[in-house]
Amino acid sequence: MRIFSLALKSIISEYSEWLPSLYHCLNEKELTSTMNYLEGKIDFHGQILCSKYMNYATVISGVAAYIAGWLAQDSFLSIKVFVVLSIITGIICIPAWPMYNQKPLQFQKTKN
Amino acid sequence: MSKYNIQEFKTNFDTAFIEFFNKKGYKQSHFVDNIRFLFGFGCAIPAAIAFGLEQLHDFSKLKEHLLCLLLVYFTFSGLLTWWISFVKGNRIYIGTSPDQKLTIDAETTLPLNHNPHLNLTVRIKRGKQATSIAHKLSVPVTDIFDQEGQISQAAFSKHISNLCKSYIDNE
Repeated sequence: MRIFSLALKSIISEYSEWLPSLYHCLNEKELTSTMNYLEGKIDFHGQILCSKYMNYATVISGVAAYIAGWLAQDSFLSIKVFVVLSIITGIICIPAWPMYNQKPLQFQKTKN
Repeated sequence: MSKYNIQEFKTNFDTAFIEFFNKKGYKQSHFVDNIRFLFGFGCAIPAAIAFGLEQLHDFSKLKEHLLCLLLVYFTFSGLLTWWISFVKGNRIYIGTSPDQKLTIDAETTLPLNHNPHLNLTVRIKRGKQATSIAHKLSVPVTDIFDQEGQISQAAFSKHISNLCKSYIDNE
């Protein structure tokens, strides 16, 4: 038991040594810019388009999955078809594709 | 803040609007929010009592009082929904002028479309008048926000000052 607690203490002390340094490597600005880069940018027209595509694709996925399952008489196939079509919908709708940034607006100029 | 975020545009505008009138000496009324909190607590308290009864005693003890607690909970929950949907709605500010002669009641909406316009409706009641007069302002977001997504103080002050000069300061 004592050996176990000593081992645990040494693991925790090693862990606590490198974890704060990892945190301090990524400062707030870098994190924010990384998150902004990953998020991308889509304009208002793109947001409406994306919302429309997602709604239509979800309905089509549901109907297609139902029909596929009914024809094959297999409910698991229905689920599989829905999952695959949902993944395709996600690929179309989640990333900030350039087609969603075709109509940018002109905002006011930033004052430095 | 990332650009093209409708919710953040509206939040930033609402905050700037409230700060503008508070700095002018208007006294903000929190009556609508206070009643909303009251109804919220009215929902939480019977739920907490039900939980406490079940923990401290057993389910049979809770069952004696369950109908009463449920009625209280659903009453307050219905009142809360009604208050948020119909009374509070899109209201962002209710305030009284420093000389107590003017009451303003402002609401904003910012629907998502290809070129969103921020719709501001300000209802002004002078003195002890029974009815208030509504004045509307519709501004494209591109006129108020800058390239970084921050509110442009110059543009904001221009629009709100024009509104004040036209409707609020004229007696």
